Amino acid sequence: MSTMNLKCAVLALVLGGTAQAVEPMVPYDNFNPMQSNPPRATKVRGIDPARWVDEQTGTRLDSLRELAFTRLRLMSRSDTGAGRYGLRFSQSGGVTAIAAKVRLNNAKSTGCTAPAGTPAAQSTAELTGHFFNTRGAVGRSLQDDVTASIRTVSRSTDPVGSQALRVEAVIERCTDAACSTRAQLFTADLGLVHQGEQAALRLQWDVANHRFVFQRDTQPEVYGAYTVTDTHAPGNPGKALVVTHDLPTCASGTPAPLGYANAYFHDVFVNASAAPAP
Amino acid sequence: MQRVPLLLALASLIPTGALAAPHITKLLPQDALIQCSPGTPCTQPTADGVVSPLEYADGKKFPLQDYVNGGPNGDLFLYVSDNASYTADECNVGKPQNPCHTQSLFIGMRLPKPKNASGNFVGLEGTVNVWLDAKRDETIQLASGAYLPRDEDRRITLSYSTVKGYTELAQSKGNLSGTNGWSALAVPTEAWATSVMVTSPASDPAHVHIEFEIKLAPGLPAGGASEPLLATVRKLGLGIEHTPIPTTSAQTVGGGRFPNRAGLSSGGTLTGNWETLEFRSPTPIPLSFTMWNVGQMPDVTAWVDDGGSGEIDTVAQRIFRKEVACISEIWMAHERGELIEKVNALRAGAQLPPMQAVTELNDNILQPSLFSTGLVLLSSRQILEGGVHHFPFGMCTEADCAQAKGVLWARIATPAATAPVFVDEHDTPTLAAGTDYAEFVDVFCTHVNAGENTAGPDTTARENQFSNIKAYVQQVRQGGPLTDTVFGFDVHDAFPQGTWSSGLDRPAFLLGDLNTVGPKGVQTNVAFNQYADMVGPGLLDISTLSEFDKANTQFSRTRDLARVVSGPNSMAGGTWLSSVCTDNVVNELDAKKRLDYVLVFPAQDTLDFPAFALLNGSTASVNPHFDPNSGSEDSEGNLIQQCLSDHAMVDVTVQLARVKDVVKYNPMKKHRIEYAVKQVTDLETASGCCADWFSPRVLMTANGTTQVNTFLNIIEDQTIYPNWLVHTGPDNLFPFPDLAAGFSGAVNMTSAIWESDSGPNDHYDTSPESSAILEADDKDAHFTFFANSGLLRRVKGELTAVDWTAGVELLGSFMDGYENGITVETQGQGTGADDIARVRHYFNVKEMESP
Repeated sequence: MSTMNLKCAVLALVLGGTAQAVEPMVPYDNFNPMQSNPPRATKVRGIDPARWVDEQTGTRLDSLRELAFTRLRLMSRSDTGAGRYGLRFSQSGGVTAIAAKVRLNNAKSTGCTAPAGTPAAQSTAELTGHFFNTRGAVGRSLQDDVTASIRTVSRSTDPVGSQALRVEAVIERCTDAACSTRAQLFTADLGLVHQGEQAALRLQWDVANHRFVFQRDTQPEVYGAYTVTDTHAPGNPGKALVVTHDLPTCASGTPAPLGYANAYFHDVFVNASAAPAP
Repeated sequence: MQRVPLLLALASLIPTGALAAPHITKLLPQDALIQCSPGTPCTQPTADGVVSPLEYADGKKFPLQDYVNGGPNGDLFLYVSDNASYTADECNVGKPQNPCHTQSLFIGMRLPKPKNASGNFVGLEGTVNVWLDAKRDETIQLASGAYLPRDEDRRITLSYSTVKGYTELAQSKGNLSGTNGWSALAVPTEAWATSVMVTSPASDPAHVHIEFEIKLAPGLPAGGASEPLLATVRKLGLGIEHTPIPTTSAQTVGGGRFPNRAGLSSGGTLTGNWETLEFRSPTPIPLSFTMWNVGQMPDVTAWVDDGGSGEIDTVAQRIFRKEVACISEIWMAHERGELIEKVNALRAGAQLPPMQAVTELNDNILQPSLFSTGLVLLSSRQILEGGVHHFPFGMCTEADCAQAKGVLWARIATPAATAPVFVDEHDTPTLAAGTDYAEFVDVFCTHVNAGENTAGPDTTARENQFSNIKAYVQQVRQGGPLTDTVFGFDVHDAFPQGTWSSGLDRPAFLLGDLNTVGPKGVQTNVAFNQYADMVGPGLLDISTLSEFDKANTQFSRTRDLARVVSGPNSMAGGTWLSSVCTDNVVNELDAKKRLDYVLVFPAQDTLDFPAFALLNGSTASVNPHFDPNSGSEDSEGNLIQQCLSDHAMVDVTVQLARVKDVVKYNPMKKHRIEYAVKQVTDLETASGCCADWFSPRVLMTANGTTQVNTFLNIIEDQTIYPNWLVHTGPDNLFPFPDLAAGFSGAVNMTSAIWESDSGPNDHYDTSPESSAILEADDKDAHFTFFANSGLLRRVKGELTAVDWTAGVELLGSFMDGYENGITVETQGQGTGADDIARVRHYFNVKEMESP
């Protein structure tokens, strides 16, 4: 791999050059076993089980979680409820920052025709995690866990025929033990992205300043400040790359909703202290 | 070489064990009723003693090789006319023989003249025997006594001398009681009417020309068609042998025979040894091509419509069973890689072997999509050579410059290349593992500049690209070398080093989204000026008929294979759909524009035979793929649906036929031995890209001398086509002579495949066997050519001298042909992430022209 070092250096510059991070970002997985970044002692076939753990909630009609040449591919198609499907960092507890290149190649979110006022359907590709708990987690309860996500979103309310998606930053607090309901603490619109267009996304917990740092591509960083207590460990420390669906319940006899997301991830970076073992 | 018939013939013969395998040549007689008309007159040879190859264009060409004396090869031409009579205005119009003759076998021979001690050509004299087996079916069916010449069979003997100026013709018939199975005719009317001419044309000072015209068995039955041409028979046994008589103390050359083989006589008294001429169409070599722009547009910020709702999965689903497919508009390397993975996963599920591919998979941060073609050329047949060419920088307009575009090339082994061939190993038929490199076609896959079809910057850019394609195609087909000084090849071009076999002797195919609106069905070129220019002499230059096209009446002249669509509506060939479409799109194709093509580059236009021609009867279909899951309503309630791609898929089938037979290994001639690594594919990981390949050792030992070539410049990709070569001959740094005539030793060959790594470099395993003591034996494949037998074997290794002769796998015998070489893949063994690769090795025993 004669050009590997140069490539890594350029990549690090692109991904981390504008960060005001507490910790520097380091490569975690580029999903290219032939030219792994960071280098591995031994090459692996497929997704590296030492670095990733499957993550999935909810039900779906169809799904894919696979190494697609030099990318991680996550695909989910569902017509009911809410769910997440992807990979969790195997040592998530130490992960306080995630960056990756994300391409939501195709997404489709179809809501309900009835009853009126039904919430929109939503499908996303996101970098996400539980970072702390505002009160101190009780047992396995996720209530009061604070999650942060940077995501590409398709909604059923998007203009029909448009292939424009939206990049968003979100901070939420779980309001039940399963974190099936959440209260938003912060949202930011990071602009449109087209289906198939790649976006470099970064999410970083800046605990010293009680905020999260979000960044899309080379745009200015966006700071999501919060006022809740951030000194307690989360009920679930998981950090993950996922595709999600969140679908309303439609009236009986009307067409079912649809949440479809087909996304590619690569060049995943994390905070230096969460660097994987070689 | 007709491989399938040969196999069948072998199978039928093995139980007898008494005779050599009868060879079969399929030769379609020229039928005046079908092929000739005043509008399209036929050509028939005239037995005037001047053998003009294209007079035999409705026949077939064979080499005449002198396995006793060596020397230059001669040529043999065969042509047969059928039962229907000719009128004066439909054959040889304006030529001496008019009207043409029915039921005749024409034999044309060009025989090399020997040279005297001063190097000047001298006259030739010798004997030509022609053996004719009239009731061939009985011989094939092993009817009692038919293995010897019988009363209805004939031997025609020509004795001639251009030195002494005589030509004597004698004819005899089969007779068990006669001399060597033959006796004189009882009455002259028993003769098969024969005329012959022997000349030394001034236009061809190196050859003596001999032409026969033989009326086929006119005595059987009276008033009817001759037996070989009876509808129930349509066969003739034929043997031909020319035996030269020394006319100079310096050289004796010019021998040759039909069927062409060393050792065993082609005629004589064992009729089973003669060739069987089957009077029917040549053995077809079927191939199919698919062209599809799949609309997978790029992830660049300057967004454009992505060209349909298809994704890599849906594209793979629709192409994984194709034979050869040119897929355009996949801009991202990882998607091209994923497509290949998906296709081969689907094929594995269907119990099909993986497809091979030519594409670019390494557009990482230092090589972004800007520099890629966006093309993938997939083949379910072996790819023998491959290359990637980008249009020169700036040869584009506006948004099209977001990607380089260009041409892919794959030299694809036809089904004939892998047809089973059995080699006689000590009386045991053994299946040869090698692929015949002579049996290939060159396929090109392209995508050119989009935009307007009225004259302007877009058409100018396209015309420049067409000229660039034409130049590239010509260089590739002629066998290289490709040099950037000639064509301004982009720095990211990938192509084999050095040279390779020419493919100009056969049709080649261009598959592409040519972004030029073309006529459909019955439409003429009028109103399609850009199309006419594209195929015309100034650009792709495929519209002109070649001399062979004009002379023959059996083969296709079609250049634009999907212009007329097969089926009830020949106009249903439009391919430009737009991404928004309905499920009725299949019925709207006659109103759509045609932008996607499968075109034919004809064989090089000469006054001689090509090696292959296209049979008539190609088929074409245009197939849009509608996405049934794409329906959605806009704010006004209109249903919006998508096609998987905004282009329809074009599917074409063709049939090739060999019209010139191959030269075989002749130990009595000087030879150059070539060994090359043609293809390397990384099998180390299930996915990912790319290895950095090099080879420190491509080795050949011959005549007690070893030549080792090193190729240390790294080539990065998942699959590479490097052509790392070693060969005998004068252009080596140290003397490494070609094999002399009569050489009877062995030639040893091996190569080592390495990958440059951030840690220690990796020596890849490419040998199917393992656990050898020596690392080279453990990881590298080894081969030996045995000159005395013409056999090529994969052997055990190099630890001891004996290992070089210990056969592991029989690849083939050059005595059976393999005119352009034998190629074989080897693959290392291993599990998990071992350093294993698949390598295509190439060997050629190349006959050097004798003085």
